[in-house]
Amino acid sequence: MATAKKDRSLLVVSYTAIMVLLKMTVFTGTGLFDTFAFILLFLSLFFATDHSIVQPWARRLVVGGVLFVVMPVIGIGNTFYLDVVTQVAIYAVLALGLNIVVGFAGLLDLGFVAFFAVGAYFWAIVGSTQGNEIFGGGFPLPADMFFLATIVSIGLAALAGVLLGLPVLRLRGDYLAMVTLGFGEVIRVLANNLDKPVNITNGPQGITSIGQPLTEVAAALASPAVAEFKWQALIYYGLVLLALGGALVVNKRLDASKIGRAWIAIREDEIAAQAMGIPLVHTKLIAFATGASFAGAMGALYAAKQTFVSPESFDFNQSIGILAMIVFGGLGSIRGAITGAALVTILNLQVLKALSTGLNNLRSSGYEILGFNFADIPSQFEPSKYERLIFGVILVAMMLYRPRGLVPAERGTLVADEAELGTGKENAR
Amino acid sequence: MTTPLLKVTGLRKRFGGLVAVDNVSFSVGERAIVSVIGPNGAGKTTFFNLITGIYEPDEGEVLLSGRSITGLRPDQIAGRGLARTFQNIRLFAGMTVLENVVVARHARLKSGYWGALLQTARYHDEMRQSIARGMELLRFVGLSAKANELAGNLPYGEQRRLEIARALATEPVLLLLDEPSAGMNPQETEVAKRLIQSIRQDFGISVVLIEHDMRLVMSVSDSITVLDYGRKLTEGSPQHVRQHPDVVAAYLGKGVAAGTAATTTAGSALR
Repeated sequence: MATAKKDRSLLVVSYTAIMVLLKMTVFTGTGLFDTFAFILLFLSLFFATDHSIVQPWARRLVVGGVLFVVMPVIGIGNTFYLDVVTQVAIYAVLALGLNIVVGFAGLLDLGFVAFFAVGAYFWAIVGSTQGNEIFGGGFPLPADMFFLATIVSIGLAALAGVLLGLPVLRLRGDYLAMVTLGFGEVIRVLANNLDKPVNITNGPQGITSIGQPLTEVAAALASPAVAEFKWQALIYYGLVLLALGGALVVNKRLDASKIGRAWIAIREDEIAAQAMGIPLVHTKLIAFATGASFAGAMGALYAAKQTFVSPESFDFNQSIGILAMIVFGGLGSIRGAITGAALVTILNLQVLKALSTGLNNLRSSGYEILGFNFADIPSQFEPSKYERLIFGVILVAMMLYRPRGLVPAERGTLVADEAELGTGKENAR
Repeated sequence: MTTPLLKVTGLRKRFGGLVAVDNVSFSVGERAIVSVIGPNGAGKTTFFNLITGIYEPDEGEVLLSGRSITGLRPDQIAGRGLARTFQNIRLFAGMTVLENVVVARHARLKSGYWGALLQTARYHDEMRQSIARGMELLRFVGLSAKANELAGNLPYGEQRRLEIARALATEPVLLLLDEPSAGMNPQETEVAKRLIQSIRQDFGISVVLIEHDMRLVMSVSDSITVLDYGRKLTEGSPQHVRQHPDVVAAYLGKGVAAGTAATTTAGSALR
């Protein structure tokens, strides 16, 4: 059990308040410092969700305030931030899904993005005119069928998980990793080539003009002060928050149930787990299907938000990226998965981009120091060009110094009452 | 004659050229404590692995309470009421002590995936019962004060006791213990002995143990089966086995057996 630490509720609340004020008054733009202010604001969510130092009231205040009030207000002012947070939430749900498979059940899946692709292509096909290529007519479906389609996407992805799982879950460790890697590539290659003989995926060009849900709401709310596209961004923000909330609830409930314990048991020792009455294949299939269904839901949402999908969005790097998130965060840790997703996404979308912009500004400024002209800095120095290198370095550093991740998983979903612990009469042996 | 709780007939398992278990028959009655002994490599653990479904036998049949469990998966066999511990402790080291016990109730819980997602009343009831039952079992083995510690952090002797509690949580009719006193000092072995006796007393179930500590074997067993090179050498009461010349020969070699069997008992020679 975590030892009782000092209560930091007030500190976290005041930190959040200061960051909100700074972000809303001084650092309102998207430059380097504005980006850091935004990240520091985002960090308040991380502090506030540390149960060992923050009281429930403070947690609710900070998380509720930041997610439901501050982010929308900042986002209406500058939709870039809303995009970032939406992206973070999408990846957080993906990370939570993969966390079930890799973190809880210990099944290394290197092709997770395939399930994401299944969901995305499903809505892309039925939510655009692409559906006519297959079924002859009647497409696109009305955009508000999106919600129904999302449920179907969840089912399809889960089904794909089961179909992949049935033959391969007898494999262990490295072998399973190889097969899932292959599966991920197969789905991408299929997406790339299924444009003939029947045009299902439209091949490498991808599918465009995918329907967006709730556009009529955004249109109705539109005003000179807040344009329609801003409302639409806000709607997506709300939807991903909803999805994230759902994913969290599912994760926590399963983690605390006999299914969750069976996953951990399998991860710890397959033979012992089986000898204790846990059916291996069945339990692993549930993990695969549940993880995949998270990805399926997010796929549909992603397709709608981008209004465009192509095979490039679902390559091996994406699978590795999501895996990196949960490794950063701490395998098997729910809070860790979300932290990892936020970290990687913000690093990708904001920090590297901001640093690159900063470098470009420096170069174009043409200053000279000690005979060296900044204009001579080669463009190869742009941080966003070696994103993978930076990830690699961080991963290696993590393995060396925090092998269990930023937020190591803690067991303790099952706690005996204090009374039972204290008064329990020991068998004197 | 009533049907024995466990009845094994003509069990045989071959690994390449090696016949690890060769035509072994074996039976265990209700509320019995039976030991399986034999030199290292005699096939004792393989014998356990065959009964519990970790290996599939080449020939032979295993009946539990009169029903065949041959060829079933280990989890199905556990569900039928056969539980076991392992020679090299196989606890779920990253889980707490209490979780280790509760996880073994998997097959006994009705409410599963959807029960957990929808948080049904039955799910909550079963959780409460499982925790209460888990704590009871931990008290039985004397570990309830450590319920929330990680299993991997327990000292060796306690890990062995936790494995027994975990096996009991599956609600077995027969418990197989693979070297329960391995690596223990005489005091700990004494604790293990009393624990084994009270398993029969308090749970009314039968226990089969593989054991090298002859003092323990001789004092707790109703009957002893001796394996050597995969074959059954003899079986019978501790008295019978102790004096059997083949047993002395298997443990100490033929020459020693010839000199000692007449004058001294194998039991004292083996100590």
